[in-house]
Parts: sequence; structure tokens; C-alpha cells
Amino acid sequence: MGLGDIFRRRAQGRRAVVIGLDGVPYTLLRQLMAEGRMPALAALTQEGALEPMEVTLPEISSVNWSSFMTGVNPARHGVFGFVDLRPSSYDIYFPNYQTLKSKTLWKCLESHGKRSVVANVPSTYPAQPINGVLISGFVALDLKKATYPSSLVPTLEKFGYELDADVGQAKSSLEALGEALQRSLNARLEVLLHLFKEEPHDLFIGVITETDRMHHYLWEAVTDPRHRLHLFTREVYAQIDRFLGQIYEAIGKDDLFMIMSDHGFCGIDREVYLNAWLRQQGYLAFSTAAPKSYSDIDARTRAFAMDPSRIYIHQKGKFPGGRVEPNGAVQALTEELREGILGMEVEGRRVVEQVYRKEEIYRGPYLDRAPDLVVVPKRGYDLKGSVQKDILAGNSQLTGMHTHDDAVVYVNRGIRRKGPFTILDIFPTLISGLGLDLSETREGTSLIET
Amino acid sequence: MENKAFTLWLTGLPCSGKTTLASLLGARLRECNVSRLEILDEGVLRDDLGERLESSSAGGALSTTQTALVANLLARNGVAVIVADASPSRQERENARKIIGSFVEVYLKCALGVLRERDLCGSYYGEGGRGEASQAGAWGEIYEAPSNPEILVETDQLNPEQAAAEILRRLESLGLVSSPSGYSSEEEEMVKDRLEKLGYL
Repeated sequence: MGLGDIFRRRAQGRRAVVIGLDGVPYTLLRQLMAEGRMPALAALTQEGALEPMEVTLPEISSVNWSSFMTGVNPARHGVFGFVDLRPSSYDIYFPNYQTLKSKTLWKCLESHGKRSVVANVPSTYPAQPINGVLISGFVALDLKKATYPSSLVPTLEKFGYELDADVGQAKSSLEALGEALQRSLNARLEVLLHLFKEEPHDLFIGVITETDRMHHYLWEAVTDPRHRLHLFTREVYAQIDRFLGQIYEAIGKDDLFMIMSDHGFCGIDREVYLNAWLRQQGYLAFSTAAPKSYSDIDARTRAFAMDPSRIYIHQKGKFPGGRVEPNGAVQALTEELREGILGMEVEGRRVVEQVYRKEEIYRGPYLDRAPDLVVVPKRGYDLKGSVQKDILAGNSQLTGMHTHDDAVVYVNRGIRRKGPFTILDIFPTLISGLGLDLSETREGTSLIET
Repeated sequence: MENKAFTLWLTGLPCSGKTTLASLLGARLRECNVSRLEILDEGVLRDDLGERLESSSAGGALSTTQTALVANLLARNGVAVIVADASPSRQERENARKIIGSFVEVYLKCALGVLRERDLCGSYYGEGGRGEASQAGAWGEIYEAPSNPEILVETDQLNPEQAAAEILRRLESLGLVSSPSGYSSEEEEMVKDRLEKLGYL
């Protein structure tokens, strides 16, 4: 198929194209361009702006892709983590596409007759009908439930499409993980190109998640030229660069083209287990010596943590065994914890950069479900909410951790205002790029309007 | 995941929490993707339909059977229904079960002392209350507690949020609603595994 055919596949009018690079830092892309590994991206920066971007807290994919697709903060879209507790219970559930409280970009576009192709955006499982195509991203489990329309399933199978790379291969060896990532990436890029060419669209969103997986397990290889898999990481980025070039070559001069990531990345010195700290300080108690879940929380508990960095006051009336009286006592304990957590040390070093009260970072009707405090670690200290750890710090096979800053945004035209830019700015940028003016309230500011 | 239409019949003495729980459950069920849902509250029905019914029904309220017929109409059109109705007669509730296909009886059990405390105006249990319900003993005699309800919650032991959470858990185990995130329990284990591999649990 030639470029002429591709253009014939376009819907009418301007369109917007977003390529998501899960977990890719701005600084890494700059470095790769300087190394000459990403010539297509380097060329793109001559026509537009590549900038660092901040993301919503906590800095994990489920929260930030939800912010990306709705244009609002967690107290309005309702997703505060990969895992949450059901109201008045210690039972966990997994917030996802069905629990999202705010309308997605592509649903907003439907009322304007716009057709969307949305592929591999995390937190869109199970797939629901849209005007166009939707293939769910992480944590999608079943290809049939992840694909709308279902008639596309055989095509995806023909390409060998995988919903996610098999990171379980890391248990056998990093080389095996590399092979799994490569296989998954090859099929992902082929499918994204296929959808881009064959499915008419006004909005195209395609996300690459292999970058995040690679950074979690192979961050040392990404950053250390002596690592035996360093070249592999460069080849992955070179492949992504060629893909970006192919997509950009096929769009029209009036079309909006964006690249973005949902968080940054850095190396891990130590994993820090917040619930172990809360236990050591006397804020948290379990009813068993070897707790396995939040159901083991004892009534003596005054606060507990959920992954990655959320602190909840064990408030009376909010949790079955809650003991902290609402209002005054909660506020006093929140302040006490904030001070304590800011001073937390591992091996004589401070590990926390900032602690936010929920009112400081969230605003909306689901504020009551938000964690009372959100902790931002210093780089290198990966906060965890496991209830099973009884030591303050340790290490696992994972070598890379997320950062709330150093995410990236690219737009193929001049940015008309000064930063800092946030992930909430992407929604209004896409709306203005499509020449629309939506009535729904959104929180960010378009990057391309004065 | 599609949820099935069902009728959740909240029964219990006055002030046991039927109206409060019906409203809370409505909100929670919508979060579980039960989008087509109606609440039939005896108080609202009495206020809205009372005048028209006064000639045909004692006290202007729908009878248990009439409420069951309305619930069934909704349920067979795919609408989940929450009925909040004291419906004191065990026999009439059993009739309702026969009328409605997917019937879930929820007994809101509450100690008399707590019911009295909640009845701030003394409408049901106070000395100056109205009609035959004015005496605590009267309701005690009229009300026939379910002998084998699908769900029993003690509303004097749980706050409304906890009671709603308990009822939702039971509805999930009965296979009538999916979890808020739409995953089956088998799928939830798979999600856990995937999240653990990336260090999120």
C-alpha cells in the first residue's frame, strides 16, 4: 500500500494522532537522539516541540492513562491506583475501564461524529463499543474481551498480537525477557501500523508498553553501556524511531501529531516498604504475625499504605475496624504522619521528597475515596504498599522505578505557552488540534493555543 | 460483563434501614455496571401513588403483591429492582417470590431498642405514634421475619456503608453482579499475578 492509499483511508477534516510510549523519560529520548539512535524523532523536533512533562500522583500507569483519556484528575475519574478497597471493606478490587467516572476523549468525540482508533491504552479493559476501534491495554486478559469490534480478533491473531509482553520470562533469564519483549513489540508495531492504514479515523491513539516493561527489568541495561543487553535496548528504541517516522510520514500537514509518556523512569537503589515503616512506628497493626491482605488489619491500626505511595487514615465509619475519629483527629494524625514520613530514613538517608495531603493535589466528587496522603520519593527509592514485608527496605528483580516528573510530550507545532506541562494538558490539546470546542469541563490547558 | 436483572427485596421492621440501604445500594450497583435500575420504596410509592390507590388499598400504599407485579414488569424488561418495603407478611413475600423470577430476599434485622432510637418522631414505636403501628408490640406482632432469606444483615451491628458492602458481596457470590471492575474471581487472580510481576502488589 502506498502513501496515496493511506491518505484515502483518512476520515474527513483534520485529525489527531497520538503515540504513547509507556514509561519513557524525556531525558532518555534526548540522550538517544544525541547518540544518533533516533533520527526520525530528532527530525520531528525540528518541526515541533519535545518537552518534559509532569504527571498525576501517584505516578503509575492506571492513574495517568485514566487522566490522559479523561482530561481530569483522579478525584474526578476515580482511579487512584491499580488496586483499591471497596467502600467500607478491606476487600480489594481493580479499578478499570468500567469503573472510570469521567467520559473519555473518544466518547466526547462521538457526539461530534468523529471516529477513533484506540489501541493498547492501559486501563481500557474490558473493551466497550465506540465509534471506531478499541483494543484494550494493560491489564487486559482476554483478546476477545479486549477487542471492539470483535471482527478484528482474527486479524490480531494473524499478526500474533499479544496483549502484554510475557515478563514472566525474566525468571529464567534477562535474555529470555528480551526475546519476549521483542516478539511482543514486533507484533504491536505491525498491528498499530495496520490499524493506522486500514481503519479510517479522526483520532488515532496507539500505545507501546514494551518500553515500560523493559525499563522495569532492564533499567541497568538502558543506562549502562557495559551491560550485555545495552545494545538490545538501543535496538528497541531504533525500531520505535522507525515506527514514529513511518506514522509521521503518512499524516497530513494540518494534522496534529503527538508523542507522550505516562511517567518518567529512573533506577532503583532500594525498594521502601511503607507498611513496614508504619508498623515500626506504631501506626499499623495486624491480627496475624504473617499478614497476607488488608483483611488482616487490626482495629489498633491508625494508618496503612496502599501501593505505591498512598497513605490512608484508618478512619472510623470509613473502614470496618476504623478507630480514628473523623475531622479533628484525622487532621492531627495526617499532619503527624506527614512530618514523620518526610523524615523517613533508609541506611541514614532521607528517602522522601514530598508528602501531599489529598486536598493539595486532588479536586472533585471522589475526593472522599482518595488516600489521605500521597508520598513522593526521592529518586532511587521505590515506595511499595505490600502488607507482607516486615523490613523497611530491600531489593527485587526490578531495577527501574517510575518518576512523576521527566515524562515526555511532543507536539508537531510550536507550543504557545510556557511550562510546566502536565498530562492533563494533552486532552485539551487534542481537542483544539481537531478544531473542536467541547463544553465538558477539563482541567488542563491546550499546548497549541494562546 | 453483563449483569442479570434481579429484584432485591429489602424487608424489615420500620427504621431498620430499608430506604437508606436502597439508596446506597443503588449507587453501588451502578458502579458495578448495573445501569438499568429502579428503586421501589414504599414511602415514595405511598406519597406518589397514594391518592390513586386509596380506594383500592388500605392506607394508600401498594400491597406487597402489587409491588411485586410492578417489580416483575421492570425485571422482565431487564431492569434490576430494589424494593424497600416492610412487607410484614411472610406469605405475601413468598407470593412475591413466585411472581418475580429472580428474587433475592434481604432481611434487615435490627434490635427493638435501636429501632426505637432511630424513630425520632415516635411515628412507629413511640407512645404518640400514629395508628396501629404506634406501639412497639404491634409491629412485633405483625411482622413475620423471613425464615430463610438469601441475605441477612444486622443493621444494628453495621453502618449503612458496611451493610451495603455485605449485600454486594453476597450478590457477587450469587453470581448476580460482577465486581466493580468487571473481573471474575479467576480473572482477578490473573490480574494480581500480572501486577505482582511489575511490583505493584
